[in-house]
Amino acid sequence: MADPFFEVRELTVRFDGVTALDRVSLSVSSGEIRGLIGPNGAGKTTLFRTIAGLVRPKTGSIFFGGRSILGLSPHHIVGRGVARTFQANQPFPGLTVREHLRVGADGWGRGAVGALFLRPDRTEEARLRKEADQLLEFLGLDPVADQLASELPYGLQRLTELGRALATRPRLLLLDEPAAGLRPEERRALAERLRALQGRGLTLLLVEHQMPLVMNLCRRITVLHGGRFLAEGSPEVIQQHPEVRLAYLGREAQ
Amino acid sequence: MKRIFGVAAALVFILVLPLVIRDRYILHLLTMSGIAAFLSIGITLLLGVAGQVSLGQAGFYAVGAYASALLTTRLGWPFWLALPAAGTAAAGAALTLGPVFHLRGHFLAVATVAFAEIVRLVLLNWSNVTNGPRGIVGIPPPQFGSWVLDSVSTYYYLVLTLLCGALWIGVGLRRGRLGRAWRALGGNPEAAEASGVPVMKLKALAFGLAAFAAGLAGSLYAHLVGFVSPHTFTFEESVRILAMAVLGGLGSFSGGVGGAVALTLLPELLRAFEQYRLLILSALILVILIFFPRGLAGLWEGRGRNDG
Repeated sequence: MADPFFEVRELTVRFDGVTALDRVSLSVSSGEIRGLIGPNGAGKTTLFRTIAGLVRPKTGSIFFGGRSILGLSPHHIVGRGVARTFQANQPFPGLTVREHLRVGADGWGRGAVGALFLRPDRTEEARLRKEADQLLEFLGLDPVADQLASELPYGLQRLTELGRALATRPRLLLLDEPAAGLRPEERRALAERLRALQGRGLTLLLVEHQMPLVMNLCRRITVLHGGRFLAEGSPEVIQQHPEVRLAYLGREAQ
Repeated sequence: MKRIFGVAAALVFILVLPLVIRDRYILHLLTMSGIAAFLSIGITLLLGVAGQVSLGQAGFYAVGAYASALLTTRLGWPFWLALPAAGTAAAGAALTLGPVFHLRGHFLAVATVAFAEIVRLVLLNWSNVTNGPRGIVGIPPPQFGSWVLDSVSTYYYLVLTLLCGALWIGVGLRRGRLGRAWRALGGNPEAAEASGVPVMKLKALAFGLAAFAAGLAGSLYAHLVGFVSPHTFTFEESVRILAMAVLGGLGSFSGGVGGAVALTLLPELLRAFEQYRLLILSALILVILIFFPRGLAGLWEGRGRNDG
């Protein structure tokens, strides 16, 4: 059997004796939109932070494209093609929307000191500019491209956050509640864009509390509860799963 | 267009100054202002662009001054080699701060204070190399073949030429992708890292460049005055360097130069007021910052972004 596109094996994370993730495993195939759900404190954001290289797990392994990405620094993991968006908007103060995308698009392959002496040549610069324009258009951000992101309304900031991550040209994108706080029509537009990204071959791992969105976008959903794997399956299976219902609704509902 | 005209006019004014001003002392002060400008544009890059506070620039200034002084007096190096070596030594010293670069904001600022204090104590106590509190005397002026640059006005033009180069590099760096990444990591390091920016390396690079500029300033100072001692490189000097960039308008290179000139000339011009000197100077800085929150740069750049 070929290596899965993205795989987390037996991941355990402890913070000061509290087990945030307990032997969590997850395997995602290329081009999939995988839903990752669970009640608050299930460990979804911790899992994202661990994949992104911000948290060191006690045990376990993380493979992307057949290679381990565990122990790499966060920017190297981005360089390998794994990007993430944040749960809360985190615009860079003083940077325009276009500059947000350029920060992600400017590669650092030649290193920091290399950047001091080597400038991207004209064709490279033109290519980066064009890519940023295309991304702005895809996200519908072109009318506000030269405004400061921090001064935009919430929904547009949310899109800028998505654009910042997409600009790094990821092959796997971790989305942490991208629909949180969006209006219904914005949510629908987001769903369409995520589908379009899937159509371009991007693989998505989606943490989301908006159940209709998850059920609509994902063919497989993984459920975490209290830092442990609880269930995995199609939206129908997950909706009917007794333990998932118990975890979400509590004992009284039974 | 108006702006190019303004820059050209300022440049002509600066170029003819030594022809008009015959007073050697004032020319010396103007040259010192140019040297201070190196320190201040380093801070402009470090704090104004990359958002990192340093209260230890006097330490890098000292490393540059002593490196140049020792290389020329002890090893007989020419000034032209000692100058870049001084910058490199200061940048190298900045990189020894590597282990504390993960600290943020005030914590990092305190670490830089400690660094500068260590430098000062080493200079005071490592007597057989640094000559301790008595300092190093007899530092030669720069020399081109048989032409010794020992007049203040030639030195003025030397500093001015180098300063123009430094400003050109600074403005270019801020405009490019390094500038963009620095502004991003200064505002939000975690999101910058998530955008693929090597935050620690770029922080180190910003510190290294600011230290390099301070090292050049140290060398230029040593060869202008001919004498260095640890008493020049105090915590107050670090504060003065930071104040120059803040007074100038953080993030603006022309403002940084303006701040450097102001905080070099004003204390001397206010000497007549004796014990009220510091009081008047501090009040003046406060007034400027209250009425022009964007500092001196706000005076000539008008509203909008700092981009001079």
